[in-house]
Amino acid sequence: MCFYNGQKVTHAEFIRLKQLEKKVANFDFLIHQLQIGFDYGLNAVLKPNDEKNDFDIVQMEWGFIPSYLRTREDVNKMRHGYKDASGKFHPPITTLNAVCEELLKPGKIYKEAAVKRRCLVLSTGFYEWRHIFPLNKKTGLPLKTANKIPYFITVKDRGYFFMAGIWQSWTDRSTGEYVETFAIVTTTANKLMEQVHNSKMRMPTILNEDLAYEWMFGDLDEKRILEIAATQYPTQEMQACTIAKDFREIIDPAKEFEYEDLPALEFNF
Amino acid sequence: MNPGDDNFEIEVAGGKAKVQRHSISEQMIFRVIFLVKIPPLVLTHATRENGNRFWTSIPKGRQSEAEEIGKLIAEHFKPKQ
Repeated sequence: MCFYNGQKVTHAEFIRLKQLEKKVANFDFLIHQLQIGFDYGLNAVLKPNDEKNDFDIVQMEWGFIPSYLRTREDVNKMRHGYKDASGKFHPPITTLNAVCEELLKPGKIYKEAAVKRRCLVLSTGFYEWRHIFPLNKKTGLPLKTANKIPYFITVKDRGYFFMAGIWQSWTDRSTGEYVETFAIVTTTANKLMEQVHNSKMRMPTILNEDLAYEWMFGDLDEKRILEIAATQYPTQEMQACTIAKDFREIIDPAKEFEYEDLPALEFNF
Repeated sequence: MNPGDDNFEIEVAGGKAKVQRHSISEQMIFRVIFLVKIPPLVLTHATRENGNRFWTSIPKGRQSEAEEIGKLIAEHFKPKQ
């Protein structure tokens, strides 16, 4: 006789429920429809084994933690900013994305991971904001405040795809907490993403299956790492649709939502 | 249960929640996604030693929520008059 949540259940039922727990633990994190970077939550990541001949699908925390940070408190300070003893504010440092051009620069926190610990981040689509500057009715000049329109971007005919990532393990020196964290590599925007992410002109480094395999398992020199990291996925193989501005709070965040008078994206390249 | 009802919505305190039905190793589980900031809940139907059925969370630990939401899911699948 065993207990499960305070309910008396049979031994067989207890085993069934425990087995179900293990299976759900592996299954649960794959079906999130929306990952918000600033939540610093867990994501599905393909991590190569030590022999570099196979991989596991594991959960990692999105937001690369540099090894020099000692405790969670230090991590939170880095991520959210803080005031020091003199009252001076230190702004937040975001490590959700690793800019491909800077991956291997001396002194950058990502260099060792880019050389030794490359991974793939599973995605079914990602979200980005397009900045539209309405024209002033009197002057005809663009207003300074943008109207921000969210888009959901996917790869055509692909239920999921791979983004290049780099990962690092980290241990809290005060509590012993161990986590694996990652950053998504970004590259310059292609013709589609230039229009959507028009404030920063960047996009995640999306890899086709051959490059994904090479990124994860290849014995790459620095030149090749930078080449793959800068891969710009073809515009013709991607698509984008507008979604509701409150997509973070709704049941189906990727549901198409039309905005009146919104200039259409140019798809003819 | 209707085989087509793999995704549906239920009314919970504070608004709607999205329910996804999945089968894992021939076991039926329900994943409930809330619109407010409550972590998703996975629940299943289990059997007590005395044979009575009850709803429980997977993993364990969210029993009261499982019982409350489980009733709403059962209600959803009741034959409509």
